[in-house]
Amino acid sequence: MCHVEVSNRNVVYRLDLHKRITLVRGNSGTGKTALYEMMNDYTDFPTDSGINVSGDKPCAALSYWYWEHQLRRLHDCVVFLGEPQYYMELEELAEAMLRTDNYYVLYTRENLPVFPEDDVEVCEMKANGREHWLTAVSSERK
Amino acid sequence: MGERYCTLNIFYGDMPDVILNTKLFFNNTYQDRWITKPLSREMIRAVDKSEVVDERAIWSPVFGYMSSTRLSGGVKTLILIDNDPAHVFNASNCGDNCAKWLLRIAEKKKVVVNLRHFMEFEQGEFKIRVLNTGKVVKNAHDLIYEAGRYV
Repeated sequence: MCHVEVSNRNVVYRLDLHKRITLVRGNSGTGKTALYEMMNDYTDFPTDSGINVSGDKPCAALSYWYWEHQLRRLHDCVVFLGEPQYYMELEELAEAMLRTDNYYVLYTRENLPVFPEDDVEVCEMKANGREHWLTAVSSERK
Repeated sequence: MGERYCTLNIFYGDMPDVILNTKLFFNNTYQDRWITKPLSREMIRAVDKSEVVDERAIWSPVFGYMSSTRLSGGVKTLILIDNDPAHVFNASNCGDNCAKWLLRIAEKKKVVVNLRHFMEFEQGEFKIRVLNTGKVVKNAHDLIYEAGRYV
């Protein structure tokens, strides 16, 4: 398991990741996009962003355009991806992800058969005020 | 449930010329007057738990006063679907809590959306045309049977 916390003046995310691939789904308005955007800012400007990131592993967001270059450099990290449908080479991306030792957090409602089922946990983002966390939906991909 | 005048048209799976990144498209194309329409106000209140103050300001219990560009991806997609008939949008950026609003938008106008996952629509009757087959279905059971194979 891997625990990370991401926060700024408005929100705090406390995430427990049980498997290498976490697919985040759930209702709109629960803060999924806000977390990805925070991680994007933090990846570009770790100090200047003012975003606090702590936990068991370093964290980074994957860029749509430079993911191959990034994945070559990221080891033993928690890596956040936006909607995978924007990555045109999804199968190549998935294969590259599985060759690494990183944890991955993806926001998608689509089924992604490219990932081995044993490596995947489907979660929903929950929110109460500024607090956000993940809860497992099911052991099976929906 | 009120009478539905139109059918929600859904194409399931990959579809050409769809706006996939609705958040980005919204941020660069939305018009101020879209935000203050009664239906937009209702959707923002229901989905994002936020109140429209005026065309340029929204009150969020989490973020305080914020711009429309900080609305959720789901609400942005709903507002685009309601206001931009020139494009087809990826409604898989919407959570299940947006499903009833898609049906609501389709009550008054022709709506075509693309879904790349199986969205849970409310129990009871509705009218959804699965564009992959052309068939109109009226309940969740029939929708699974008709559309499940495409996503």
